[in-house]
Formats: sequence, structure tokens, C-alpha cells
Amino acid sequence: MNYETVIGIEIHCELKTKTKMFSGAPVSFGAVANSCVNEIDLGHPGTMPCVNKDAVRLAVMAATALHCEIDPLVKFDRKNYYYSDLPKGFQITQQFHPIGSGGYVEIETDAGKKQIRLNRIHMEEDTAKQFHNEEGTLIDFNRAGTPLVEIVSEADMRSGQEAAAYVEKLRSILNYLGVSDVKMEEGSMRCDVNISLREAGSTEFGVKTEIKNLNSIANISKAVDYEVARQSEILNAGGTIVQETRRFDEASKATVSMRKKEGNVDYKYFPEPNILPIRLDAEWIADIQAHLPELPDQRKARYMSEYCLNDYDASVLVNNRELAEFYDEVCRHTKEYKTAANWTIVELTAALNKSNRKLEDHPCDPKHLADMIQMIKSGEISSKQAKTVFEEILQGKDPQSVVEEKGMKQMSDGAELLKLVNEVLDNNPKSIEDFKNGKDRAVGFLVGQVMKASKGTANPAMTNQLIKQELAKR
Amino acid sequence: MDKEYFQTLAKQLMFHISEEEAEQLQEEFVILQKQIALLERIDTENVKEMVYPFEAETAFLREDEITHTISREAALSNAQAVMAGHVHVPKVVK
Repeated sequence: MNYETVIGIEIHCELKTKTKMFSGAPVSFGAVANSCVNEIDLGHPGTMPCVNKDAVRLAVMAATALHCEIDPLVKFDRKNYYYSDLPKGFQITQQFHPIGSGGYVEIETDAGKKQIRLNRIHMEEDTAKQFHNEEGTLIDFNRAGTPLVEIVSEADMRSGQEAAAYVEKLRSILNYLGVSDVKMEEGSMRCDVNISLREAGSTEFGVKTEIKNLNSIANISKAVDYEVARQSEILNAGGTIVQETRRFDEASKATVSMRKKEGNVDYKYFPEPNILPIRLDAEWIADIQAHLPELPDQRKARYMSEYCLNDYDASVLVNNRELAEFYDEVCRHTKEYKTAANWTIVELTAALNKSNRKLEDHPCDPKHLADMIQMIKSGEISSKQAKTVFEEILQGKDPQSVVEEKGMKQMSDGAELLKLVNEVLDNNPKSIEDFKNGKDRAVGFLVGQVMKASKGTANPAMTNQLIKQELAKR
Repeated sequence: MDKEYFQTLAKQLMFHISEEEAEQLQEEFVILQKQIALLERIDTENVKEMVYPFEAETAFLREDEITHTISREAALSNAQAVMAGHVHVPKVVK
């Protein structure tokens, strides 16, 4: 049978605040276990939650960038369930009044652009982190109470590729906004994917499975592809899909069952009585919205219109925010935008991959790269020499001193070069004869001889021109 | 509401109550039910339920500044078992 894949995604993102959603305890990743908590995070009796202004600001930024309608009246609700990672016995979330509703994320697919609609974006608090070993479960409450936004899509995706593109785009937007670290491998962005199949043409949903905590974009696409194949096989054999939570096992590249879901769990939601409804100031919201940082799509458009980059180059740069910031900095010091893009995309990326380092850990100064590009343009150094200079720039050196130290300056002094050209011509009478007999290749040979005599420092364009000029005289 | 009802409820909420405590709860609930019956006489037709003590909206949001943490020792002092600075509980996953 021909099936259509239906995918909806829920994403949890930790917000980049200094303190927790409802307490003044610090948010930290990798701190000593249970050292960043206070009574509110631990749910001690008599404590009162107090909403973090910056978490709300970041949520408003995210909701705006995702085209959501913002509810200026902030309300919270309790989601009740009993589990060891939840000290209060309930999570404070926004079940009934999400801060953002509707909205969309635009992705690129093989068939062109596609809008993935969003159902909502709401604020909530994170749970504690648990580690399971042979002897039991160990709980670190440092993460408890960390501000989160949950972004829920509509079931608009139809393949693993679309699901991966959606998460990648969302990750990029949140990264450019600076609202979250969006590190999937560290858990600051977590992704749950709901998948079901239905007969092509049908409008009813099939039974879905949920794949939890996928830790990379590549794994999203792999997990969906596996799950689609698994569900198709069951349906084709006349079986039925069991509603359950599954996880992706990296070693076997398969999804495995975690727990069955017997209908919907009743979380007994009710409004959080300890937080009175908070009316956000309309001017404050407008101010946040008016000062959003440049988003990936806007930056790509700017690279294409202002810097005349092609779609591919602009995309490669924009997809890596750190690289794009570096490129922008280079372009503040040179107008050779295309050359700058090539050096950044090709040479810099290769060097980073080779040294297995991130740009932020590298001493490479964008101005140095810009200076080097200017030196190539003015003929001070050749493109070949530039590669050696670039190696040194990567170590934090400035190109001018590298060129001087290594005596690499391109020979562009007309008189000096002319002398060398004539010496070469004197030593190669056969080539002069060949040239006069119409063999243009002789020029190339002579240029090569000048380069050799100058130990590679002769300016190739000038050499070429001087050889032709002197040949004409002989 | 017999004693078994309270025992079952306690079990669902994952704490232990003794026979005496179950009996005490049973007696308290008789009084409580009478009081609730009194409330039922109030006409609540067309009255919206209240969630908050005041209907007024607020505008207060806390600045994102670190106020205080409690010591690790204090944080772990209520735990029945501690291992490597973590709260240690029976394994919650299979």
C-alpha cells in the first residue's frame, strides 16, 4: 500500500539566562552536582515561584522570530505527575495560555520552500538530570527550574529530510537570536518526533509513535527513515501500530521501544495559583520586537544582495553562525567580498577541520585575513604565497610581518624584474627564436624561468607583460 | 469512605500510613464532608470559578540576577541516600 508519512515535532530549548525560571539560583551546565539550587528549585514547602524577566524577554524574541501571535497576559499552569526528576510533584508550564500561538518556520525542500506551521511556543521549567547505573538512579537538581521554551509544530512534515530541515532551521533561528545555546549534544536543545503513517489521500491520522531525545540533526533523519520503514512493514503485514515511546539507538541505527502509552496520561492541569497573571507592558514587547538581531534568512539575503555571493556560498556561511560573524568582520576591512568568502569557506574551514578546533578557540584575526586579501589584490603577494601567509595568520600573526620575516614579498619592482627578464632572455636564445616562429608557448616557458630565477617571488602578471615587451624589441 | 479507601489513596501517593492514621483520617473526613455539605447550600449558579485570591493583574517580573543558592550539604540533607554528591534512589528505569 502507498503510505503518507505524518510528522510533528516538539522541541525543548533551554533559555540563555543567568538564573532559573522561578528562582534566583544560577543556571549552569557542568557545575558540581546539586551546587546550583535553592529552596524553590527543590520545591520546599512554603516557597513561592517568581518569574524571570529575562526568560520572558527571550521567549518573546523567539515567538516573534517564529511569526507567532504573542499573548501579553502571561499565565502559568501546573502539570501534575510523579517522577523522581520533578521535586515539586508538578511542573510549572503554560498549558492554557502559551506566550506564542500559531506561527511558522520556512524550510527548503527538494520541491522548493515549505512552511511548517507551529501550534505554539510556551515557557516552562526544566526537570532534574538523572543518571542511571547498576546501583540505582542518581539525581542532580542543578538543571531543575532552568527556563525552557517548548516549541510544538503542527504535523506538517512528510519525510525524515523535512523533519531534519525543520529542526536545523529552528536551531539556526534560535542561535542567531542568541536565546539559547541550542547544543543538541549537551541537551540544551532536545527534540521529540511524533511519526505516523496513513493511506495516501486520507485525512485521518494513523497511530503514532514518539521518538524521544534525538541528540543530532543527522539522527533525526535516520530515526524517521527507520521508523517509517518499521511501521510500513507492520501495516503491510496486516498488523497494527502500538502507540508507544521509542528511542533511537545509535549503535544499531534503529528505534527501540521504551514504554507503551496507554491512551493519554492525565496530567490534571490546573492554573498555577502561586503566580498571578502578569500583564506585559506593550511598549516593552514592541521594543523587544524592534531590536531583534538579524535572522539567518535576512543575513543570507544581505550576503546575496550586498556582497553578490551566490546562493550556495551565502548558505554555507549563514549555516554556521560563527563563520558568518567572522566573514562579516573580514568584509568590514575589504571590499573583495567574493575572495573573502572563498578564503573563509574553503581555507579557513579546512584549517579548522584539520586542527579539530572551533573558530572561537582560534587566534585568527579577521582583519589579518582582510589585509592579506588586499595584498593579493595589489600584487604584493601571489595567491600561491598567500597560502603560506594564511598558515601564519591562523596562528595569530599579521600578514605584513609574515611577508617581511619570510622575505616573501612579490617582486613587483619594475626595474628589478626587467633586469631579471633580460637575463633570462639572454640565456634562452632558442625560446626567442621559437617565439618569432609563432610558438606562443615559448612565453610560458620564459615566465617559468623568471619565476624559477626569482624563487617564486616574481609577480606573474608583470613578468608576462615584460617578457612580451622585451621579446618585441629583439 | 472506609479505612481501605485511605490506605489505597496513600499507596497511590506513594507514602505509608499506619492503621491508626487511617482511622484518624476517616474520622476527620466525616467532619470535612459535613462542612463541604454546608458549602453546597451556596448558590453558585453563573459564578465563575476563582483561581487567584485577587482578580487584579500584576506587572512584576524578577530581574535575572543571582540571589542565593543553598549549600550542597543542605540540598542533600533531606535525601535518604546520597551517592557521589547526588540524591540516590532505586533505579527508575528498566
